[in-house]
Amino acid sequence: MVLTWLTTVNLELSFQSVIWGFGDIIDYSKQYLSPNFSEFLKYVKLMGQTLAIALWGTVLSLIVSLILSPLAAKNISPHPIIYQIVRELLNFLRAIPDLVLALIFVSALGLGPLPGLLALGLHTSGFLGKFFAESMERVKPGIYEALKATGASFFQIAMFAAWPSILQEVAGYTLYIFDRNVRVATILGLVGAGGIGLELSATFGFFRYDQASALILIIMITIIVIDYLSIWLRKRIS
Amino acid sequence: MSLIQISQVSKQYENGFRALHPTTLTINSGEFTVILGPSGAGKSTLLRLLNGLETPSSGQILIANRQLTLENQRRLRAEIGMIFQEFNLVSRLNVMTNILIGRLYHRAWWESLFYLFPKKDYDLAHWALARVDLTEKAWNRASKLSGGQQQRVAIARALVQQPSVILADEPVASLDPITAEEIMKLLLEICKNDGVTVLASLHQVGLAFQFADRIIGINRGQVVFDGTAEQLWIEQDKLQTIYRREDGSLDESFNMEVALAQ
Repeated sequence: MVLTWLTTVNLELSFQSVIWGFGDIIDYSKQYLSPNFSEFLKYVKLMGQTLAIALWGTVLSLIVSLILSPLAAKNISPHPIIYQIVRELLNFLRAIPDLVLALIFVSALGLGPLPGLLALGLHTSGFLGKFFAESMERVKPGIYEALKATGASFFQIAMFAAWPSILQEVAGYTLYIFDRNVRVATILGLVGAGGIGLELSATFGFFRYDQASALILIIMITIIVIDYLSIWLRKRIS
Repeated sequence: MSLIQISQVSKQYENGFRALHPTTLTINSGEFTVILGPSGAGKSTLLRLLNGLETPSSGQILIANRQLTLENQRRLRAEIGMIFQEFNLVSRLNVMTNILIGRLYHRAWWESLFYLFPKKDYDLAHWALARVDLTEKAWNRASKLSGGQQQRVAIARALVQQPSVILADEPVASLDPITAEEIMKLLLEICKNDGVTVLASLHQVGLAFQFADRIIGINRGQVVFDGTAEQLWIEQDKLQTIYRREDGSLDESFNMEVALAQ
């Protein structure tokens, strides 16, 4: 009881304001009922840019994780210290929200798609790297031993035993991360990291709710299509 | 001529379990030696010590007069073929690539990055495939093969290493009796025709009698017999020693193994 009271008292929750504000919410929502598609082609182009940010962010993440994950897999990592360092690096990348990374990169590199791409790529490397490393740890130890027994190096064990053995998981996780990155890329635009989110932020700034409505619809439809495509592809892979 | 010399080699794990008591052995070139013993006797530990998959707690190992150390471990491993009970092929790769894995030690990292192997490696792999009678399966995925075929591929992978010795850790334990005999015959042929020393761990007495030039009996981490199959056949009490438990009773596999051998 005390804990509940302590955790809610600072939220200044007021049911009164919800009830009184209900009418305002209805009025506000009405402004979204007539989406304005007069700049449809521009919006589609921006959506394409958001997809490109998500795609290249995922590619960057994939490349970084391809390099880091064998080092972070306990059973094949060349040294326990290297394993620990890379694990911590992946934890660090996962711990910084991509929104924060995007803000840092926007400050350093200016507005545009590049900060978004870098933020997504680095943040999700933390996830993909961990997923891949854990998949590698689940591979039958005998397979790694067989390669070790031929005199193969760490790099060769990663190339010929680890990666081929987890190919299915690599495809599945990468698609999942791409799916996630498409959603997040939209939000990153709101802090200036390019794509359709930047435009959405601008329409809110100018109180152009009709245009915002059109943008939200395009975003929703794209995300639903990507979601279904991703599910279909993942099913085919498995 | 001695190929492997093991001097006072022992293995004790961190949890205190002593898998191998100080052991001294010499394995001669061209011999087909079987390490015989029940499960958990220390057979696998002994084989794994020989190519550095396990580090000895004491003693020294000489392979072709070179001491096995951390520094030369990879180089010596490249000269020692090893096959396993579970075959340990990379199931998603095709048979040819699985065999070429045996040549990795000789390839640079950038060649491995692109799966590049020179023609001489492919020629060697084709020869090894023919040697194990699987030429027509070269481009099949390893996971599509039967257990016996997978073990043949594993033998071919060892052969392309052009090894002086093949260590076979329970090579037929996962196979049916007919396939097991075929695999043992193949190993014997490789030993006698190609001059590759074979050191195989087995728990099947019958197969040991049938194929071994020499049998090393091992029980609870200690060598309790070292001689020919004929000697062991005559000295049945020695056979019992190999399968005797700490409490004096015989391992449950003993009667079955002897019955099969007879």
